[in-house]
Amino acid sequence: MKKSLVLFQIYLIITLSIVFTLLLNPQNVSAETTTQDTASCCAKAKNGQSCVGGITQEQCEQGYSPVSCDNLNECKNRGCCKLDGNCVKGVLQGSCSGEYYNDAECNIGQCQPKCCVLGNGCSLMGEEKCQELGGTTNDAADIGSCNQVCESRSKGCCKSEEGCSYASGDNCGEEFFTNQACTRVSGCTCNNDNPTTACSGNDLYSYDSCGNPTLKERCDARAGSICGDKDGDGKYSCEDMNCKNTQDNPLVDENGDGVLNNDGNLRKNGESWCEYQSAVGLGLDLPGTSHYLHACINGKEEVQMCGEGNRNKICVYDNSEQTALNYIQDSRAMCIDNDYQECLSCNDENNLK
Amino acid sequence: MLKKRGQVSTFVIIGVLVLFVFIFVFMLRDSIREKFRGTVDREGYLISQMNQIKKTINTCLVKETDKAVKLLGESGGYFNPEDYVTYHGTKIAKLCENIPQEKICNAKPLSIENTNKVLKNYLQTEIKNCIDLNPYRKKDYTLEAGELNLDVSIKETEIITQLNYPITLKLDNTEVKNEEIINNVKMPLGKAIQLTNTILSEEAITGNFDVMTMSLLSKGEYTIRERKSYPNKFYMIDYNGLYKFNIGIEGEA
Repeated sequence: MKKSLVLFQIYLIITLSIVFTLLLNPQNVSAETTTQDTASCCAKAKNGQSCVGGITQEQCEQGYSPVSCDNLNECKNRGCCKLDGNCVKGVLQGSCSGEYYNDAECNIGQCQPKCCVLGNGCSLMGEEKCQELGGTTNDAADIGSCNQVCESRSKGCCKSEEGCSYASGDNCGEEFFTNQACTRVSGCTCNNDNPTTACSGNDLYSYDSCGNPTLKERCDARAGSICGDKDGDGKYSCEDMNCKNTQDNPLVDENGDGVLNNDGNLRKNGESWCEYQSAVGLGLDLPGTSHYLHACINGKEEVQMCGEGNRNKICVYDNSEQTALNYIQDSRAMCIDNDYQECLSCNDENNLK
Repeated sequence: MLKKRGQVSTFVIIGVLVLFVFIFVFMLRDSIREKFRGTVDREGYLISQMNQIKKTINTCLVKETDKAVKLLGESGGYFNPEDYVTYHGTKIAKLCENIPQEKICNAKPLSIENTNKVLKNYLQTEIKNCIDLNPYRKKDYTLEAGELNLDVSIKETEIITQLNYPITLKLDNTEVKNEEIINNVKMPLGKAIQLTNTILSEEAITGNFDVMTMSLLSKGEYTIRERKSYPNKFYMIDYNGLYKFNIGIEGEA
């Protein structure tokens, strides 16, 4: 009896001490639960990022909330943001430091480009961007009518005390000679000692000291020649943007002509084609292999894997013959979804017709 | 023999005297130089010292701006991004946030104004740490340095930095002050930000961006490459080796 009483007393001492400890320190228990819940959202972090979740108050510059960003309207609402004169679609409200509109697709008047007249050129752009560049906007809504605005403006030689320049009549405050090059206007001295070059569309123009344009060359885009200044030295020319030697897997006959190693030849600018790691189609693809989309982009061969590495996309191509334009092969390729599920449905006789 | 000994002692004495004179002149070299300079060109001396200081500051400004703008491009528009996706160990700012069970994402576009601030804050600290004026403080003049102030302006193809770090060199009554230093870094950060927002706009609505067409239309100005590191996607803009800018798009795991 005495023994059981002693054991009961020991039991009471142990259990009561645990109960009292828990009762006297309730903060410790709740503190542990709070630290486990790390949900937080910062409207603007110290490093400049917006709507950042899971950071500490010290890392946050403004708008710290102890709830997840999904629960804050400004980090959940999706709309259109007009930023630096351009409209960006599908933007989080809290990440928009410009003007925010509720239309995620930006189908609003403020985002419709306007026809901007800049010097002698016209192009579609945002109204603010146009004003920033010193241009003026007009009502032409599409690129066709916008170009017409510029074409309708007469150009010619503007003669002033400072000298002569070939420009639009609108910008000439003094004597203007419509449709006349300054070389033909008496009293104008133009020279071609240091001509400058520039591109208009894909045409290369040379300009003398008065700005009179002379067409130097029409760059043949279909043959891979693009008017541009690739090295950025200010000298424009028709540059060959074709890819001379392209990569080829010598084990696969991609073009299907029966020769394995002749696929890596010259490719024209803009051409795209497929490269495979093994034989493809009809169950021939090896496990672990992927399809690759190659393209010749401005003289460089660019490679892109189709899909995420699990062949959820495949590469398909088409060689179009355009003999009338003297093109033998002009390959176009693309990555498309690999609908392997449809093959499985063929096993079901109900799907067979 | 005695005569020769006497000759040697004379030479030794003269040698010791010459040595003493040399040590004496060496010890008083600063005050002698100071007296000489005071009469000749105190201002010229301070100007030459100031030019060296300017060179030190300019080297830091150019080096640090170049480094910072490159780093900013590599990490997707923010330094040490808090909200990021990783590509081969590099933290790239997440500029489009995944929407669960949807192909599209929520865009977080970059603004020139905000990037200006980000770059300014980062550069101000880096330049301050880089400029070492200690070698100039140990000289015979007094150097007083004020507060370092930096202004950054991101343009389409360049970044203009304006550094105002007032330094005064004083020697007796002569005083020389420095001027503001302006530097241009030719990197198309402004253009990269605009292009980034175009990509984000398309990704946020369609969940895709046609890199090939965009690269082709640039007529060789830049190339955009799309890379995947499951579940995320990355766009890498390359201005022909001159400048690189990375964009991180969050995917769904």
